[in-house]
Amino acid sequence: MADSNPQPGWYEDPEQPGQLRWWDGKAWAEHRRPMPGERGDAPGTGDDPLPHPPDPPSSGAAAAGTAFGQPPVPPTGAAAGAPVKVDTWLWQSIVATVCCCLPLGIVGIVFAAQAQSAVSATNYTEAQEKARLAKIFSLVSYGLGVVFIGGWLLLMAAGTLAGF
Amino acid sequence: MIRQPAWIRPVAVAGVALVGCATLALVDQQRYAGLSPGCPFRLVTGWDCPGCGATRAVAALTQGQVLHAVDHNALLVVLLPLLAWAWVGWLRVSLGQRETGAVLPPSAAFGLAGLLVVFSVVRNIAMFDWLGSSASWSTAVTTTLVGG
Repeated sequence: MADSNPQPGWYEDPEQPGQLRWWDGKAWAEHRRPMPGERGDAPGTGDDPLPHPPDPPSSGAAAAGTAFGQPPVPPTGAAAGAPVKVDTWLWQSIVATVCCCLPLGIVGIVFAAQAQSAVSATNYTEAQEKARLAKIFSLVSYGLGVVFIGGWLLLMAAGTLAGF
Repeated sequence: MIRQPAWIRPVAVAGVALVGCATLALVDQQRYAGLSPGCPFRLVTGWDCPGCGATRAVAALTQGQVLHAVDHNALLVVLLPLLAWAWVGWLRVSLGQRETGAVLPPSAAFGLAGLLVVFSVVRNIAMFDWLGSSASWSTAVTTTLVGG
């Protein structure tokens, strides 16, 4: 990079191809981030350094993120354009249904399944909405299970104390 | 705040599950049966929910008695390998080896929801009571086969 000083921006990391590194105009900074569309692009990366430079104006990288031949996806927070990983809460709902004995878990599974359908259709906004509902139903199911078991243990303790 | 390793959640879940299984394996089921809270759905309605018998099924599995496990909750015995597979996928995602976890195709997910509903209805019908949580057809089959 000695012969040319490109504009500051995100470029492919010369040391580790496959990820982006911040070029401040003179030298490589220590800010690295995954290539758009690669693993870890979704929320939860957590590794992004705080001084968050603007998104890549760089040619190759920006194109990589959108070159999936998909219909344009409405911005959904963190990663618009690239495939968004959506936790559909399917497994959690299944466990909630079987362990917590509540029909709420089944509602959760149905929403999780709808979320997965939406992911297949690359409709990430709908997927996230359905996954949110699945999460709510699962968590309520888990919560009721915990409340029930806790209440039962309290009753047992009280019964034991009362000499029952 | 200390940064948690990526695998902490799947490993914690597996740990809790293993402690639960170990408890079930070591505790005398007959003696402490009354201590289990049982199923709230069953307590209220008197019907088996899809999870009824799951505790007893897991306890039977820890003793290696697969048929008894099927007696208590046939669906759980079918689901356990699926859940184990999902857990492995989750672990691999958390370790960064894979992009997405074990994903069922949407059709399979809907099918699973339907199966759960059908299972919870059918196991309460007298004709299919061998699917219920207190069935004992494996005992009957064993008795017939062994001639006891």
